[in-house]
Amino acid sequence: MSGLAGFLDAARRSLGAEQVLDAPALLDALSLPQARPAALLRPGSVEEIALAVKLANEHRVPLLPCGGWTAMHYGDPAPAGAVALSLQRLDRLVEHSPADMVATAQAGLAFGAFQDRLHEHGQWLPFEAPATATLGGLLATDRSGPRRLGYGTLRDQVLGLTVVNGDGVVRKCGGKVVKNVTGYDLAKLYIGSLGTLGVIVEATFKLRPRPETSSVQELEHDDFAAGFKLVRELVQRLPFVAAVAGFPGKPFVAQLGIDASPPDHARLLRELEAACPSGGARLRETGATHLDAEEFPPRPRRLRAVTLTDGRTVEPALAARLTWPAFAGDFPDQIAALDQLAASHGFGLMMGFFEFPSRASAELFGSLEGGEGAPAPDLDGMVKALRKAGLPVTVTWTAAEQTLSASAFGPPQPAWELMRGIKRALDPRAVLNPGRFVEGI
Amino acid sequence: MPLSATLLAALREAVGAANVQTQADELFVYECDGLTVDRATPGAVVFVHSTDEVAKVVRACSEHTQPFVARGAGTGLSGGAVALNGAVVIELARMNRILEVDLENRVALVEPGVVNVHLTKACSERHLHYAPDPSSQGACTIGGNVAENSGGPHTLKYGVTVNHVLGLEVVLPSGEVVELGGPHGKGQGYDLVGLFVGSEGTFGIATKAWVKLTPNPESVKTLLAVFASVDEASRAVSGIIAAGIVPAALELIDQTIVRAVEQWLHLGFPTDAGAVLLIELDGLRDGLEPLADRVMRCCREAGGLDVRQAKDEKERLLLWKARKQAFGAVGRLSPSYYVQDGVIPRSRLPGVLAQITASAERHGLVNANVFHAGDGNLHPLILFDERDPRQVEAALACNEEVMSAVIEAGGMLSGEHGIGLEKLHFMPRVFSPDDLDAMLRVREVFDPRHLANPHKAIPSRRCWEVKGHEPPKLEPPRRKL
Repeated sequence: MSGLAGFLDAARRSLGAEQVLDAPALLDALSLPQARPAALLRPGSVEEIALAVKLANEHRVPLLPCGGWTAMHYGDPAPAGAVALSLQRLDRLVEHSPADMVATAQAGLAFGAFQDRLHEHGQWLPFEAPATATLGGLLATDRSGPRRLGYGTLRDQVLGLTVVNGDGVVRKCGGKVVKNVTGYDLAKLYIGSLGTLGVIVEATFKLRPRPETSSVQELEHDDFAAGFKLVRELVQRLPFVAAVAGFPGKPFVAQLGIDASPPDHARLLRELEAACPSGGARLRETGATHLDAEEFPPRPRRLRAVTLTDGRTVEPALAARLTWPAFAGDFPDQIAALDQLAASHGFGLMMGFFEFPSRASAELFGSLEGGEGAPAPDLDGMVKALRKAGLPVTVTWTAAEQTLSASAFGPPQPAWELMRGIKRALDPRAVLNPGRFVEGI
Repeated sequence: MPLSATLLAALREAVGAANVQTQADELFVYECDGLTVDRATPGAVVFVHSTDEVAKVVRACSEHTQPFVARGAGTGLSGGAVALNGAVVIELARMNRILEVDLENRVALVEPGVVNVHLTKACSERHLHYAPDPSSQGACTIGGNVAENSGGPHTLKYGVTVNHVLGLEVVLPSGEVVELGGPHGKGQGYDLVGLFVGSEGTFGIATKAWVKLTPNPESVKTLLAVFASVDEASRAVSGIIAAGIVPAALELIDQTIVRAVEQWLHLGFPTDAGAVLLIELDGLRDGLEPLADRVMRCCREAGGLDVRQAKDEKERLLLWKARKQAFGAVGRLSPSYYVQDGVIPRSRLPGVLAQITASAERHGLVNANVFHAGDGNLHPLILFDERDPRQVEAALACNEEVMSAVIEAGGMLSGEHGIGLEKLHFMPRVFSPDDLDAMLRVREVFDPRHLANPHKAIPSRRCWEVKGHEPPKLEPPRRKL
C-alpha cells in the first residue's frame, strides 16, 4: 500500500473512520494555492495527535497542522499528498484562574470563544484576530494585531506551551507563572514557526484586565507626509495602544487605538483634538473598540472601495499582501518606491500600511482598467525587484492566479543553518509542514 | 587542571599576554559569582575587547575542546559564571561601549559589558530608559542580563529582558559570528533572539545587543503601605492583581528587612510593621490619582494600617534605594544568606510564605523576605553563618523545602536568577525527561560538544537517563562548608 493509503488506513483504525475525511467535495472546499490536502484528520485528544504524528513518521506522510483555516494561505506551498491535521476538536478552556490572571486553553479553541470566556471575568488577551481563528493557529503564525504597540506581540503573552514534536513525543515548555527563566524558553521557537517544529496542542497565556474604555479614533489629512509625521509624533508622545497609518490616496488616513481609564481616555482625546486643527487634519470617532481584525492587516474602511479619476467607484480585486520590517521614518520613501514598482508590474493600485512599531505592509490590487495594453500583473517580478532593492518582503497572501517562483519569505538570515539544525532536532523526519517555511524548512 | 601550553599560546596570541591571567591569586577573584557557596577555579581568565577577540578566543577553545564561560560583572545569583572543570573565563566587562543610541526609533546598540544603568543614564535627557532594572543594575552588565533573562521590580508592567532585546550578535561555540534578529526585531524564521535570551551562556556569547528604549512615564506615584503581618500584605497583593490593576512595581518587604534597612539608611521606615508594600503606579497624570485611590482601598481591605505617598522625587528615590539595597542590608543581620527565586501563582502567596517561614523555624534559622510580589516572584532569604557547618546544612535543607513548596504550589524554580548550577537538580521535578531532552537537543544545535558553559541551565542526560552523546564528566564545584 502506498504511503498515503497505508497512513489513512492506519489512521482510520486508530482514530475511527469518521475522523478521517477525504470526500472530494470537502477537499475541494478546503483547497488553497498553498495547501491542497489529500485528507483531513480530526483527532480528539493530545494522545491521538501524538499517534497521528507517529503514524506520519512511519508512513512518511507530510502533515499540515491546521485550526480555523483562516491562515492556511500563509507560507510556501505544501507538498502534494499532505494530510491536514485539524486541532478543532481540542477546543477546551482547560483552566482560567482569574485571581492569577492566567488561562490555559487547548490549541483548537477559537480566539473569539476564548475571549468571550475571559470577558466574563473582566479579562482578555489584548490583541486582535479573527474570531474563528484558533489559538494554536494564531501562535503558529504569530499573528499579532495592531495592539502590539501597547502590549507587545503574542509571544509576549505566552507563558507555556505543550506541543507534539515531529517525532510524535508530547513535550512541555515554560509554565503557568507570569515570570519564569526555568529552562530554555522553547515557546519562543514554536511561536511563529508555522507548525514546522511541533503541533501546538495547549497554551498558557498571561491575561490583562479589560480596559475601562476602548475606542478607535480616525485621523485624516490631505497631505500624506504631514499626516504621517503628525501620527508619528502622537504615537511617540502618548500611550496609544494601537496605531495604523494608511497610504496612498487622498486623504491620508490613520487609526489610533485607545485603552484607558475614563480620565486618561478624555486626556488622549483632548490631545488629539489639540493636535489636529493646526495641520488641516480631521478627527473622527469610529465607534469601534478595536481596529478591524477581520481583514489583515487592518485598514481604514474607506480605502476598501476606490474612486477612480473618472468618478467611478470600484472594489479592486486583491492580488497579494506583502509585509516587511521598517522604521516609521523610512516608510514614506519605501511606499513611494513600492507604488512606482507596482505600476510598472501591472498592478492597478497599491496600498501601504504602517503598523506602529516597525511593521509595514502593502496590498497590491489587479489592474483596475483591465484594458488592452495594460500589462498583466506580475507579482513574481515585483517581489524579485523588491528583494533586489533590499526590501526583505514576505508575501503573506496571494490570489489564486498569482504564482511565486521564489519563497514567500524573504532572503535567508545569516543564522539559517541554526534554524535548519533546530528543525532536524525537533522534527527529524520533516513530517510537519515540510517545505512551507523559510528556506524550505 | 592546567591548560595546555598550545592553548595558552593561542589565547595570548588572540588578546595579548597581558589579557590572559593564570596566576592562582588572580584566578581566585573569579572562583564564584553572586552565589558564594559554590566555587571552582578557572583554567584562565581572558579579557576581551572586541567581537573579533571573542571569536578568536572561542575558536582557540573549540580547537582544544576546552570549555569556556562568559562572564560580565559576576553579579549572577545562581552560580552561572562558575568555571567548572577548569573552564576558561571570558571576561566581557571591558566591552562596555554604547555603540549607538537611536532616539528617533528608540533603539540602542550596546556591547555586552555595558552596565545596565549606564544605558538608562545615556538616554535620560531624552526621557527614555532601558526598562529591565535588576536590583544589581548599578553593577550588572547587559550581556549578563541577556544570558539570564533578568527581571527587576518594574518588569511587572514593562516585561523582562527578552521583551526588550531586538537583536544580537553572537559568537557561536564554533567561533563563528552570526547575527540573530536586528534593530527591527527577529527576522525571518525561528525566533532565535527569544531563544538565546535566558540561555545562560550555553548557546554562545552575545557580543552586541540591539535593545529597546522605553519612554519615561509622564507621571509616577509611589506608595508605601504598612501591614501588621506578611500574610495581610500578601493578601493585599492578591487583591490588587485580582482588581485588574497592573502597577509598575509591587514589592513586598518584611519586618526583618525593614529593620535592617532602617538601621543602616535611617529612612524613616516603620520598624514595628510586620511588612510593607512598595507600590509604584505610573502613566498619564490624569488617571493616576483615581488609580492610587483604588490601590489604597485594596490595601485597607486587606488590613493595611497606613498608606503613605512619597511626597516628592527625593522621597521616592529613597524608598527605591531601600528596596534595591535590601540584600546588602541583610549583611548587618547575618554573615551569609541563601536567596531563592521561585515563582508561584499570585493567589498562592499567603500560603507559600507561611510554609517558608515554618520551614526556616523548624531548622532554627531566620527567614527574611523582600520580593517582586506582583509577579509572584519570591526571594526568601535564609540567614545563616557559613562558618558553622551545621547552619550551612540547615540552610541547604531549608532551601530544599522552600523549592518543594514552590513546586507543589504550581510554581517554577526561577523567575529571574536562572538555573545556573544551583538549581539543576530540581529541573527533573518540573520537566519530564522528554521535555529536558528537547532542550538538550536544541542546545546541541548550537553547541554539540557542550563547551559553552557546560553543566549549567539544563541537567545533562546522565542526570535522568543514559542515552547517546554524553557531555564531559563533571568535576563537582567545591561547596564552601
